[in-house]
Order: sequence, then structure tokens, then C-alpha cells
Amino acid sequence: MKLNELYQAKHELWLKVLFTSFAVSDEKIKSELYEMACIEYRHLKWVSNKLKEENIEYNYDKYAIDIQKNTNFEYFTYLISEIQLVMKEYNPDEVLSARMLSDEFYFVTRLTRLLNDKSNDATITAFNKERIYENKDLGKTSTDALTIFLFEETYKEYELIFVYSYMQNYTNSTTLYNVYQDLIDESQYHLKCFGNMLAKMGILAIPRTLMKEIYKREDIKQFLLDGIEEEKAAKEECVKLARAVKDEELSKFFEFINFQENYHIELMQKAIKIL
Amino acid sequence: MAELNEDQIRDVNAEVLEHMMNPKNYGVIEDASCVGMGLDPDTGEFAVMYLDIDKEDNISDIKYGCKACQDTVVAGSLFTQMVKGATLEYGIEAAKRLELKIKDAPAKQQACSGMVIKSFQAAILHKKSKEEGGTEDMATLELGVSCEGVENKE
Repeated sequence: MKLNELYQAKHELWLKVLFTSFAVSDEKIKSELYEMACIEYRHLKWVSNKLKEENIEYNYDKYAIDIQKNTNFEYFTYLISEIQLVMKEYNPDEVLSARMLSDEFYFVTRLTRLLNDKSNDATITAFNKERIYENKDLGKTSTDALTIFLFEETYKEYELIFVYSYMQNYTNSTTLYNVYQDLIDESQYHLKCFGNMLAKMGILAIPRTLMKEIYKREDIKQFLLDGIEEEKAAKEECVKLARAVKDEELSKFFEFINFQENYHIELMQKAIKIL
Repeated sequence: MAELNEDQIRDVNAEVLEHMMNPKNYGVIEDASCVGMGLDPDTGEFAVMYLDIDKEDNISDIKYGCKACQDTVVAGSLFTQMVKGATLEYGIEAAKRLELKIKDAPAKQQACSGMVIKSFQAAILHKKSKEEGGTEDMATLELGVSCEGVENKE
């Protein structure tokens, strides 16, 4: 498998592990799967570094991923199979591959162990489309607004992780690198929050594929200026939702997210100044 | 307490939810017969439509992509599902009917669905251009009314 094809396989694997962590309800298993996903993301970053070093083009294309399973055990079996498929493509004599092999060998061991204890199994409700968030009665209008918001923002955070990752991989500026890393970290956190909320509402879905026109940008200043406008728009949506949704806990959460967006704008303005 | 505004009040029924969770025909056709972009120059948002047209002028394959909101994603999913496998003539008529249908919708929804229609219409223009010897990678049409509700200047 060519290195850029491996990158696509790793990208898909990261999504499979990450969205499984959202789908599973048990907090301990969820946390363990999320940590595996974080490590898979680091693999992805290292492979992208290698692609840049070897001057090989890559993209964020992905094949359709069928993430819907009925039980935890179906997920564990699925992930073991998917991980092992990717492991076959590594060159064990190469340092990065050896590292990825070792990590994923451990993941397979952990998943196999989970399968050996029946108490780890449970029915998955992340796709039941019931759209009830933690037994709260939000009313149809607020539920629909929350649904649309979560789909919009889950995709947006996924997009931002990779847009900034791509920019980060190709920058020679330490300041810009750090700004992009902060923005990636923030988006990873938001994606985790929104992904788990989608799962709780029974409407979990993997984000659509990123178009090349979105992340292959020549004019970085304009890209950051566009990004600031998008952050402002997202803030506005957060504020409206926070005020209109009939639940104090959710309102406070959206106010919290909204305030975090302020600092994203600050970071992007800092980046623009040094361009 | 602030009410949700008109743009935020959208009915998410079972059909819409399915298209949000599993957008149909989202992606790219490599070496498509024709490619079109519907662009909102005010916001920079766009939809891209890829068509494969066979010798009998049937839409043998269709895919779309977008940098836009969920309304555009759902509109693209619904529209491409409707015209895939149909004749080109049917597709052109369907786009015209949809354009009329959204004429009185709120500005945001006009723009979001309009991007999909424009991208399809641009793809048709691209097809004609290629038949006349044109070599551009795709054709682009701009929206008349921006997502922000502002009329785009000619």
C-alpha cells in the first residue's frame, strides 16, 4: 500500500475508533476507546509528516464507513478486524510502522480482553433516532434546533481539525504551528462533546468527507479571515441556542462553548498579525 | 427569553433526519462528464455537482459536495437522489421546479437550496461548453441572493 493510501486507511480507522467511543454508553469503555482514538490521531499526524518529508500529496478522502452496530461486542469485534487489516500494511522494519504496530497490537489485546467478559456487553442506542437528550423534555422546536446545531457543529469541528492539521503540516512558522495546535486541540474537545451528544440523542453519524477546496488554500491570510467570520457565526448560533433551549444545564453548556470561541478568534488574529 | 429566529426553526422530520445522518450521493466522480459549482460570493460557501451522462443523455451517476450548512447537504441529498438515473431533461426540469418552489422561502433557505440548483445548472453549462471545445475544469454560477439575505451585485 502506498503511503498516501495508508494515510487514508489510518484516517478511516481513527474515525471508526473515535465514533465507537461516542456510541458506547459505558463510561470506562468509552474513555479507553477515546484514548485509543487519540493515539490513532497521533499516528495520523506522524504519517502526514512523513508524507510531507517525502513530498507526497495526500488528502482527506474516505470510503463510506458503516459505523452502526447493535451491541458493544459487535463493536469490539469490528474494531479488532479493522485494526488488524491496517496492521498488515505496515513495514515492521521502519521505525514509525513499528511504533504503530506496537500500539495497535495492544489495542487488539485490550479489545479481546473486553470481549472475554460478558458484563462489558450492552445494547447500543446511539442510532435509535429517538432524539431525547438525557430524558429532558425540550419540546419539538428546541429539539429540532439542537439536532441541526449538533450536525452542523460536529462536521465543522471535524473539518477544522483537518484544515488546521493540513496547514500545520506545511507551515514553517513556530507561532503558526502553535496557533494551529491550540485550534486543533479545541476542536478535538468540541468534537468529543458534540459526538457524545449526538450518540445520546440516537442520531450519531460520521461527518461527510472534506472537499479539497476547503483545506488546500493558497491564501492563508484569507483562510484565517474566513475562519474568524465562521467562528463569529458559530458563536451567534451558540448564543441563540443557549437562550432558547428550555434547559438550564444545556444553556450553560452552550454559553461555555460560545465563550471558548472568543479565544479562537483571538488566536486567529494573532496568526494573521505574523503573516 | 430569546426565541429561536426563523432561520433556526426548521422541521426535522424522519426524512430530513435520514438525509442528515446519511447524505445520499455525497462525494466526487473522478473524470466526470461535467462539473458545476454554485457559489455564494458573499460568504464563500459553495456546492459542487459532478455528473456522468451516458450516450442516451441519462444521468448515470451524480455526486455532490459542499462547503455550506446542513440545509445545503439535505437539499443536495434529496435532489441527487431524485435525478440519479433519470434523463438529463428530467433533471433540468426538476431543477427549475425546485427553483420556483424555494422562491418565497426565507433568504437563508433560498441560498442553501439555491446553491445545489446552481451547481447542477452550472454542470449542464460545463457539458455544453465541453461539447463546443471548452477546456475549463468546471463551470460556476453565482447565487442571486446570498445566505445573508443580501442581493448579490451583478
